Amino acid sequence: MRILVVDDAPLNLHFVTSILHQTYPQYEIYQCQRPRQVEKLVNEKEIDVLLLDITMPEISGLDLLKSLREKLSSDDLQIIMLTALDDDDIFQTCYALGANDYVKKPFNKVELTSRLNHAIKSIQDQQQRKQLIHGIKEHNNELRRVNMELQMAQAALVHSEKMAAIGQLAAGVAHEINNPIGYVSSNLETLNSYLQKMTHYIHQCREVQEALEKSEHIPSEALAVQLADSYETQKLGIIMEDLEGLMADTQEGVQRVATIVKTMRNFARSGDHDEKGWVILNDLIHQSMMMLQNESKYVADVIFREQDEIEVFCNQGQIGQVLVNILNNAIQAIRNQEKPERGRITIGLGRTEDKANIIISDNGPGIPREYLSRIFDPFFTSKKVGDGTGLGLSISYDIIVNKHGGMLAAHSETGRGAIFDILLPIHDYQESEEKE
Amino acid sequence: MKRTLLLVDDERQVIRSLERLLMDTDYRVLSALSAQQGLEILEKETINLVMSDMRMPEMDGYEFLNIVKERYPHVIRIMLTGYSEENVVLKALEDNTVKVYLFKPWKNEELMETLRQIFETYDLLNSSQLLEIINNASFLPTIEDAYWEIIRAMDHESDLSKIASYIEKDSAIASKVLRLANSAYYGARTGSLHKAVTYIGLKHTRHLVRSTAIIGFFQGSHHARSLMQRLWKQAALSHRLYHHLYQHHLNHKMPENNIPAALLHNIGVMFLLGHFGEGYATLLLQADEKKLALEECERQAYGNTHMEAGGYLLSWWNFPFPVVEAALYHHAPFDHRVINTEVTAAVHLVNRYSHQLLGFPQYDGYDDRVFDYLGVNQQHFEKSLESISLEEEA
Ligand SMILES: Nc1ncnc2c1ncn2[C@@H]1O[C@H](COP(=O)(O)OP(=O)(O)O)[C@@H](O)[C@H]1O
Ligand SMILES: [Mg+2]
Repeated sequence: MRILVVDDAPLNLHFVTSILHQTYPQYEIYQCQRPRQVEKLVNEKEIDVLLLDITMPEISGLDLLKSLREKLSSDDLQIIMLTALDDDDIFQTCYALGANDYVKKPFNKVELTSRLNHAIKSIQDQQQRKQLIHGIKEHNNELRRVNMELQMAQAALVHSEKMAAIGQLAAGVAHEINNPIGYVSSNLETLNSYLQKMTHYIHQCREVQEALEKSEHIPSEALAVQLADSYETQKLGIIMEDLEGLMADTQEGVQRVATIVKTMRNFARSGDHDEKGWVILNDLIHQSMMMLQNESKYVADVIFREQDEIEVFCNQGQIGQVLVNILNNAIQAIRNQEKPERGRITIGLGRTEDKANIIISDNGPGIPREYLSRIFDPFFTSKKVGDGTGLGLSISYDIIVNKHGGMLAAHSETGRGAIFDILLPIHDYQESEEKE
Repeated sequence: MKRTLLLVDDERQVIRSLERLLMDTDYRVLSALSAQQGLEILEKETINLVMSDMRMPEMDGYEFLNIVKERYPHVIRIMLTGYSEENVVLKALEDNTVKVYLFKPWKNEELMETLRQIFETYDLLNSSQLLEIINNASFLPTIEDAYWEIIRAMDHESDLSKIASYIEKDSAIASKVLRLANSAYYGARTGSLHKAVTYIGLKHTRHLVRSTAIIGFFQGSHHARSLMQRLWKQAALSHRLYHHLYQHHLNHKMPENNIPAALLHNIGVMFLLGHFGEGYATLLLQADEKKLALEECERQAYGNTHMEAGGYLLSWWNFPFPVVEAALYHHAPFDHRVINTEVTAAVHLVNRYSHQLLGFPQYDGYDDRVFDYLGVNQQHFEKSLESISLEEEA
């Protein structure tokens, strides 16, 4: 606490400061006789309480008061006026100019200290309040930071779940791609050897042709035998027969790879951003089935009961991710029950006036009643460590409900399979909300 | 005689592309679109080699080839797969369910080359002279039985302490395993078999026990004890050098399938010694004295070499194919029939230096190309051998 006493009369100054020193040995006490220096001192020493004489030469206390108050409020500086005058008007003016209190000369120690105490108290209160506010602000900043970190962690988790899912699929997809690439590349090599043989034969034909052109007396019989021989040894008959099949297989293989790559790209690309566009759900469903084909192939029949085409304003990557999650769960559930017979997964697609409805049902083991309320919780999984992250459905829920304003529900009973029911607004739900 | 191949893949296009490739060759080609269909063909036809896909509906390739291994052990088994799971690959190689792996997409020429190589290797192993020797070796069945007993016990038990107590019943094997485990490259440093086994882990233990069990039986035979002792020293040191090579000079880990490659590469010598007794002992000593290549002496005396005998036995006992190749080609690591050249080159190298370090003579000649092939500097390697203590072989 820093207190400054200002008075042009040395006696007064001395009297007041000595009282202050006695009463407040813990505070810093400053004194000043020259009004012109007051403002500078207040600033430099960061004065909290100012005892200010009114009648002084050069600048009056009132002028100083006025000028100080232009810069500092009572929160920062308490000002107590010292005066010998006994004029109500003056006090009135003092208060009006922003003084906090006054003490009349000649000084009475008790009065002086009690006024000062009051001023000190209000400065201290003020400081405490400031600290409190500061603390709260800090706290808020901290919370904001933690919140941001959590959001980032969540984003990282969501991303890693997606990557885990893709990674898990990648092995399968690699297999799906390596098969066609395998026979495509082998066929091309074979085609190359066919080509050499055919070129060889064509050269011979060409020679025969030239011989025929040059002279008329050649034994055409012998030439024919020669060509036929060559045709035979080069196995051209077999090659000709095979060519069509070779080309068909190869083209089909390349087409298969192209489709797989396109699907993968669709999935990897758009999911992370929240951009939306018009997406034909039928295509998306086909692509998701494709992604999982290698997983489902030996486990279950996946049937899409396709009717009309339905187009929805949504984020293709995200909705694709939801479909893959739910389908993959169904495949895993069927596979894990290790029954000899193949399972069955059915996908239905329909619409109402303003919503599209996708229903994915399976005839796997179903979800026990005690799990059903928890499957959408983050990290809830019934699978072995490494097999499940427990994030798939919670992310799906976030995508459908929070990001698209739709609904996602599960119905199931042990032993009776599971049904996942997705409702998606057809139009941009945010836009329609704004209209309302 | 024409060799018959059976191709099994659930994708018709894959089968067709392979048929195209093989159309122009001397192979007779049969094909099946499922494992079940493949088994039906195997029942009716004489097949020399099966090449199967991994992922197929109902029965997968691993299961299928396992059945083939049980029912038709002489049919060569190859996997051609696009499935990138390394675990299955390793497992199938390890238990000899497949001899060789090929990956989709494949190169036509490489696939044809692999077929040629593996057929030629099996021609070598199935020479009638060799078969006669092996069939006449009356002590083999005893080894066989005891060996299988250990393997079965090991395969059905994953509790290391039980395995340890099982090994301890056979003091000869136990002391060998302990000595190998205590060598610097496992660093177990313990007198307790149980601790040693825990330290080096299940997989290495299995390999060591299998290998030392086999070696142990030969050692138990009455012939030429001191020679047998010498062979064991050389085998154990080779094994240590093999680890040393991988740990300090090669920039990748030792493939787990190849762990026993060095330890067993001279198993054929032990077999011949066990079978021919004094006769073979004399031959060994003569080769030393007259500075002759052992290989030549063996071929003159028996028509076959210890490499072929060793390769045959290891193949018969279902060791991974690279281990068979190491026994068969460790004198000629770059033979055109070799598929896993890294293993034959490495074993060639450690065979050479284990003889050198122990002061055992050998006159079969060395191929210096192995250094380049493995990317090892000869001077560095020889210098590093100074740190190898020979006490452990005492
Ligand atoms: N079709 C289904 N059949 C049976 N159980 C399911 C099915 N779909 C989801 N579940 C259950 O919901 C849990 C949570 O699913 P999810 O959030 O995708 O995580 P994860 O698949 O990684 O376990 C699963 O572990 C499983 O118990
Ligand atoms: Mg899941």
